[in-house]
Amino acid sequence: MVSESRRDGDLHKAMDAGLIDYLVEPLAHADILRRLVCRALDLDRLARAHDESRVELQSLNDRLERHLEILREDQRAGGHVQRKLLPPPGVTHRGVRCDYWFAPSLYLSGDFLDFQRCDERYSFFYFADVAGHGASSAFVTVLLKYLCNRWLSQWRTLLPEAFPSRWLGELNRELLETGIGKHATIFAGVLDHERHFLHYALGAQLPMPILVSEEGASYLGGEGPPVGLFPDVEYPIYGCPLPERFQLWFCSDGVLECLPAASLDARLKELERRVTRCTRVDDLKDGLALGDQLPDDLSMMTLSGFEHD
Amino acid sequence: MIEGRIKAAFDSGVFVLKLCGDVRLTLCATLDAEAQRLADLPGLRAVMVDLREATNVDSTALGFLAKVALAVRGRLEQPPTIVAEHPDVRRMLDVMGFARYFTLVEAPLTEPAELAELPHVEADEKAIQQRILEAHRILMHMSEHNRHEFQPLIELLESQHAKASSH
Repeated sequence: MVSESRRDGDLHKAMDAGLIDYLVEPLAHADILRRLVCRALDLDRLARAHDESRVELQSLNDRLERHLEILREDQRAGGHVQRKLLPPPGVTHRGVRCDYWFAPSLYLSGDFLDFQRCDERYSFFYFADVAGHGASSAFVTVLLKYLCNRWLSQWRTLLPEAFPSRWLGELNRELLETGIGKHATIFAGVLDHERHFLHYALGAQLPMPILVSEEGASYLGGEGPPVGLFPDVEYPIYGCPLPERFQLWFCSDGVLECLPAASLDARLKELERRVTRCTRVDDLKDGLALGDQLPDDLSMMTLSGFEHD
Repeated sequence: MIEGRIKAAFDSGVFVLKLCGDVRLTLCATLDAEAQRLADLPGLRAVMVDLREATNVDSTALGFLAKVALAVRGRLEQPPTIVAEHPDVRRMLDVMGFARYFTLVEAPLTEPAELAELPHVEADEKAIQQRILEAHRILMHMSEHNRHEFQPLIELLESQHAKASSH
């Protein structure tokens, strides 16, 4: 605004209309007027550029969101397929029932589990946690499922008590050979429904499975390296008699981050204490401090028997 | 929780890797590069991993430590050493069977010399752009639908890439 005189009333009106600057007696200050005009033009250019880039950003943002939605749909479809690969919830083989709760940190989980019938007398199960989470870990779980089924097709040629240990050895070799660079912690077991016995082997499972019976709860013992990390390792064969009424609890290590205690040891004790008071997977899950987004994949499984039919 | 950090030093043939805080897989690109580089380091005589200031080491990070051990196996007189005090961390190492590939101790024989922060392996803007472009190209080739969806973005990225290259 240029003006020959300074009147506050006019100035106020101009201010409200979006005044950028003002100059009194413009003819006496030609150079300043020239600069003000230049600046006003600059401001106008900037405003236009700003609008343009805002429109461009908005369209980029829209596109990005669309792409994100496509990827999300893709992940959801993947998660759906992964769930299909799990055993049916509540599946029962000769009086032993398998229940589980399965929650990926994102859409796909690096956790995996299975429970299958081998023949009239035996069934086989495993509970695995592939390092990391998300799609890359989920691919390895699919590989696990495939390798398990292939190995189970040879069930008749192998000793039941050695089956878990041999399978882990084989899994270790196959994972290393693929060169994926992913390893997994895993627990594998064969249930003898006639003798009421559990044959098992494990690769760095933490927390270890908890056996709950009328006498109380206790962690199973044993050790073994994770699968897919070290070459040429053998997995020791372990065994444990099962009482007529028992419940085996499995949790992936994600559960440890949801327990309130300070040290790992205290968390394991807390888990044992809670499991003793729970009868179903949901009871344990409901008592955990689960946030909106899980820091890690989380899954839990129980095998209970031998009374279910 | 303290953010995870990785520090490294190499002096007189001894490579020291120090992990601090809550080390999670987001950091592991750095560790992976280290495992490969370590194997080819001229004059390497010993490897030491210091976990005394680590509050948590996730499974992926442990996996990479194992890869370091495997990469230098047969090249060094002694297996790599891991220094760890925290009972939780020691428990993890035990469960993972690290005792077979590392010497596990609670305190180093001598304090490692001053450690320098390992630079984040960060790609420059151009490299990131290149990678995004590549990823979208791959997505585009996966299906006709994707091609349709991503074509405009690819064109935009390609034009920016060309602009950046001509500077």
